[in-house]
Amino acid sequence: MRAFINLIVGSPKLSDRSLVVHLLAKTVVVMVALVVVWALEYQAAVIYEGF
Amino acid sequence: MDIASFSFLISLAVVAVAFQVVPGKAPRQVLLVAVNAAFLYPFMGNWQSWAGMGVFVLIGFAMVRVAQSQLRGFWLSLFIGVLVAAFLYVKSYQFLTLAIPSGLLDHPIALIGISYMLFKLIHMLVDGWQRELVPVRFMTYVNYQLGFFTLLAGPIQRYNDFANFWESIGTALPQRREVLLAWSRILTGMIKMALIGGFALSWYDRASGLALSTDDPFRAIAGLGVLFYAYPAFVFFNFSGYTDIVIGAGKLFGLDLPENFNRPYLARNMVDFWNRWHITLSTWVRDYVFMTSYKWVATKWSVQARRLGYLLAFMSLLLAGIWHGATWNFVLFGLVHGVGVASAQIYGQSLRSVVGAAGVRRYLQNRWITGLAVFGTFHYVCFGFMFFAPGLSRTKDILLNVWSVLA
Repeated sequence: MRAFINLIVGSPKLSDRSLVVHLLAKTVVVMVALVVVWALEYQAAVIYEGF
Repeated sequence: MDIASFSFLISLAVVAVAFQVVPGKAPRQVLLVAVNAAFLYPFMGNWQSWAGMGVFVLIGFAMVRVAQSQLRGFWLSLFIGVLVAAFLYVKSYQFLTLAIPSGLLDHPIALIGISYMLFKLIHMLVDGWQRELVPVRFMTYVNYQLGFFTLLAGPIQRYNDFANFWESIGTALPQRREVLLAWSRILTGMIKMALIGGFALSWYDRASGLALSTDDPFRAIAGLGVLFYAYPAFVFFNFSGYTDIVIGAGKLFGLDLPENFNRPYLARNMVDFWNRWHITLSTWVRDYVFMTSYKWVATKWSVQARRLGYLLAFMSLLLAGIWHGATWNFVLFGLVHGVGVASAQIYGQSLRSVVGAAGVRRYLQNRWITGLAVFGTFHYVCFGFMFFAPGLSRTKDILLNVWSVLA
């Protein structure tokens, strides 16, 4: 269970190979998130930008 | 360019690979100069903004050099006062209309990241004057001020740390594992900013629309309840996500940026909150506003120094709140936080005098008290964010509508 959680959060305790698996999975999630953002025309600007 | 975007991710990957491939210190510096310029360009809308940015950077550099060589404290204070006045003018702060005609605030100058540049400059002036700054070189200074890593919203890095990176750039390139961890953090930031922050903002928009227009008491309460939590969630995930992205991006180039968040919504009081939220801002405020004024007060009125310290803590947080924006709602936001921090200090001091050091230890270790303190602090912070969010008139309209529906 702990190994699985580490894999989800990308813990520094992961081996290089597990970290690559984690990165690939996270990249897919990010791609989907950015497509959703783009489709909804939501501007993901930094709230603190320009302060 | 949006930070949470495909174009940013792809550009970052290309530049990071180029940085690894390009040999030597000077070519790597040239690469980052070009990247910084390319990043800045789209944000500068007209020649007046370019001119304003140029004046700010050049005069700032000259004054830091003067402060490092010989400058009386009076002239340093005067220059910082002029800088702050110019900043308020450029940002067109609404309360300036109390003193000058509003027409004078209509100008075309818009400087991205000017607040953060001002923080960095004041830090350099004060530290340079106190002989705590390494010798300042022009190109290092320009890239410190305009570096794409921290241009938009920090974190506020200290000059000595940046100079150490810039002047030994590329001598210790990140290894494979560091690169993997850096990308992991960047992607975490993307998820927080685009996905979770995006959903929280859409929930806030829907809930505030509902609370503003409904005549059903249940829907009014539900709308108010959702927006009360959704906006703080949005601000946290958006800003800490952005910070994850830039800290991860910095690590791809061997730049260690300071952390800005440490689970702020688990703070047990408002002093603790500001030790965990926007940490580089709160340490800047502590070092250059609170401590500077406290030292002066303690010298003048040593007997009353502690009580005046509470007032200074209040004033410091009020100023930090006002810095967040040019409109009146940020004055209220600052008041909420100023009152919260000063109250926490007074309460802590009173507790120590009543129960003693051992009693305070027992108090801090009590789980029920800790839980209650975290719960109360979190809700106080959420209350403060109601003034941060949509402008004062919208907040007032929402509260008035909910009140009239319930009455």
